[in-house]
Amino acid sequence: MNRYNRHIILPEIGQEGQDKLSKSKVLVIGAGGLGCPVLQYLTAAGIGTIGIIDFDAVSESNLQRQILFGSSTLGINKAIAAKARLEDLNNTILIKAYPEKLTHKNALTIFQNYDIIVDGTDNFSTRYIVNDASILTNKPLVYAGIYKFEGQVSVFNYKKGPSYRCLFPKQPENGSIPNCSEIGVLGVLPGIIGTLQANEVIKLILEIGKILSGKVLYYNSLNHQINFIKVNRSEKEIQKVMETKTIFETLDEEINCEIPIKVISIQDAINKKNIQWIDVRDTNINPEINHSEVLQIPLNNLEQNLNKIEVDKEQILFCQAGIKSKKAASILQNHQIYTSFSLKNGAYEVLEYFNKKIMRDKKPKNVFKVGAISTDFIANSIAKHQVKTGIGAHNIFLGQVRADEINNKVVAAIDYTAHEEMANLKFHEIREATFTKFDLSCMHIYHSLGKVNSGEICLFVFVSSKRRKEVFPAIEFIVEEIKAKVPVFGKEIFEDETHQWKVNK
Amino acid sequence: MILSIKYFGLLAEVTGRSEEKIEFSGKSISDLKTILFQKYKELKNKDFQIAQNNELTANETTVTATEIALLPPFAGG
Repeated sequence: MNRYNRHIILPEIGQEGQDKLSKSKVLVIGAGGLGCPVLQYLTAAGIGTIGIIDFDAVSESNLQRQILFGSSTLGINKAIAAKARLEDLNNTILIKAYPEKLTHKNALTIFQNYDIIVDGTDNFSTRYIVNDASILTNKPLVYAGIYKFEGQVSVFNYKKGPSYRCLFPKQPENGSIPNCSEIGVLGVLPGIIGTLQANEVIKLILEIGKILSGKVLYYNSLNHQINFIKVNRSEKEIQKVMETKTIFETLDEEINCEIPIKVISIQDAINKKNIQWIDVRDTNINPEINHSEVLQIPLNNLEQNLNKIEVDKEQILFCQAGIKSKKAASILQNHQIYTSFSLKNGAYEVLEYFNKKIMRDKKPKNVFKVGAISTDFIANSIAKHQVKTGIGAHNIFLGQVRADEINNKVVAAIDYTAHEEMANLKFHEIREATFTKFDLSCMHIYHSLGKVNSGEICLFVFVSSKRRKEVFPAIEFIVEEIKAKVPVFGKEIFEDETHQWKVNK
Repeated sequence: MILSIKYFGLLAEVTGRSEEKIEFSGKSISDLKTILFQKYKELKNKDFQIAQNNELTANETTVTATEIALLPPFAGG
């Protein structure tokens, strides 16, 4: 039974039609969301020669819609991976993979070998190259574009029909139109639109049906609205492209395709899922950020360490003030990594965020201890920190009950009570404020409740840091904040068992 | 609304209790103070702050929570 039996028995196609398909040569630009369904159906239909051009590699987030790939092809160039899959689907046709970027330099040469061009690209600069090269080599272009839940399809440069530039003469403002990785896309949408493209290719070859030339089909997958928008050929736009014929291959992509550096604020960055923090500052710079989530790659070493970039994630590049990070983003783009953002803020804000994160990730501390704080307890706390070998300095404050003499009476003890719920909240706020202001590795606060005799310890504050500079002001800050803000009350009990209430000055 | 009021430190000695429930139909913290001063004349001479939802209030603050705490000057640290 002939593979193409179901085509051949259709009167509109027949063996004659199938022969036309097998004699055709179609080039598909991009083996992504649109490219995959196009390639799949053109291969199945028996197009004799299929070219696939794509420089990108398969990543996990592609698998939501790029159905020619799978776990076994993660990290493999898409053109090559697609070819392998398609050769299994149809081993009677010729499939050529071009694992490279389409540029002004190679477009004309590659296009000459094909009859029909299919646009499956995801960026404007390549679209314009594809359009212009199609005009210059006189090949029909089956175009499509998608955005969230909507798509468009049209056939350009067909029998004196309009071109892409007749619809959109100017490349959009940089950054004005987000792509799928920035805004998202319903997986089935490129499946629908790409299949519509494959349909147009087949109709073009078989010369059946109505070709979408001179009109753009707009499809909305949410409400099934389909609109046809008329497009007129602009001789002016076509002529402008024709005039570049002799210099086309020398044209500089940078002029047309300046992809802007994406800048992001820290508030937006921390709301993103699946990101990679990269510190591009020089080593040994303050403030130091040592967090497992932050990768340190100084700007000068970035190009040698591209393998550390996880292209599945979005990169948040930061430096001291948001300037070096822009350069870093630019370097990544030159290496076709478009998933990075330059942080508007600097390292201080990043440190603040991570300190707060450490705080939040830790369980709430028990601050209150019944009775005096023993010297054994204090010694044990010090001992526990000896394993933390990143620490270079500790500072410790001990508040002791003083045997004050008031009106000839001597204080024998203080009985501490507290509005415990509010006090714990205030201790927590003081901890957060301290971590924000000072670069500390850790901090502990213990306060007595109940009776503490004169000479005994009622408050123990312990801070640690990599270097000594921070620990002096930090401890002062904490103690003053406790005295001012925490609702703890002290009944001073005299030797004769009368009492009065203590007030902090 | 019914307010649940806690008295801390020396205020518990002044009012003779550490907590109580009172009926309150006023609006602001200032209104609450008026009621409490009427009930406990000695409170007028004492220095204290009023906390609602673990935050200190001002005279103009509207009473919204049912848990109120009267806090004398702090002595922690």
